[in-house]
Amino acid sequence: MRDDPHARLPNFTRRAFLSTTGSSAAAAAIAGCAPTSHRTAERGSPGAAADGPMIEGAVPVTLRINGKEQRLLVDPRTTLLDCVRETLALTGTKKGCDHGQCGACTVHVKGRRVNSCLSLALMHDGEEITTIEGLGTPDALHPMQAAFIARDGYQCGYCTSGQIMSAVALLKEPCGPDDAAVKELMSGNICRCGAYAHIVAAIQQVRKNS
Amino acid sequence: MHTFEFIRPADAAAAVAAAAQAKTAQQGADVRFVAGGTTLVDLMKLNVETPARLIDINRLPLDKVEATPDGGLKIGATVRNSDLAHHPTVQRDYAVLSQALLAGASAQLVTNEKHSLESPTAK
Repeated sequence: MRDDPHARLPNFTRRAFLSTTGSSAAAAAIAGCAPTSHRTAERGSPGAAADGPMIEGAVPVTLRINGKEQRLLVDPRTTLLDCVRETLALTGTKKGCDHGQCGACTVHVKGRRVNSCLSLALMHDGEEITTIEGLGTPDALHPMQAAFIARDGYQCGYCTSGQIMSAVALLKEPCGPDDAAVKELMSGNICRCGAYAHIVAAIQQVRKNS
Repeated sequence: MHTFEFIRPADAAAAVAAAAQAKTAQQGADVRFVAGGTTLVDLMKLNVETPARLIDINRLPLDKVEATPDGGLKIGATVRNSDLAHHPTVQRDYAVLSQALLAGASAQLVTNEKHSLESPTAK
């Protein structure tokens, strides 16, 4: 009987593999943008890094992410985006350009949309952050999530969480009734697949029904 | 990105004092104020800006837009550009400024951005 190498790695995920192998070699190579923060149980306690390596120069920060208080120790350089994705493992928020040009990283800070890649986690101590994970659940989608599905407002899906976070914030912003106004206010979210027409249709559907 | 000390001063005087400990406010300065961070964080990622100390002014009470007695407008350093563009006085008396702010970047970037200087009379 042939030995199946995969049988020896029953629960080995791609993400776990990358986080293990990437932490040493890659961190040295791309120190400027590598995730350097780490989750911790107790703010500033001596045993804070018991579940991971101690980070030199890490400072405490408390974020309210999707209604849940998260007390963390982060490297001061950690962007809000990297904190959400790498420290808190909320990977629904995507990193596209990492320079504020594509909008894939859009989240809500105190109910308003921002590019999380251009903001440091420490700047948001105590603030309310909402990511795509906090918008709806598979069983109870936010109306905008349901509309994106109904209108086919995506293809590959990479930009979609940013598009939806942006679109939900748009509902509370001054915006004219026509498609052109929606396009202008959605211009910070790039879709390389070109699903723009369907995205506008999804947003207009929600606006008409609300 | 180079590492830095992150400072959140209690008031404007403490912020100025913290900044005064460094030598210059020109490019390549050891100390930087951070408000929205839109430009600064981006330049720090590229190692164009390498401050040793970052002074976060976001919690200081600098988020007011006020008319001045001589007919000008005083804009706080932490006023979001989106708030400024939609401010009734700015929309009425400084329509070009309002339009320029909204045209200058995407909607979420305009919300990231914070005003960082007192505008001269632009009427």
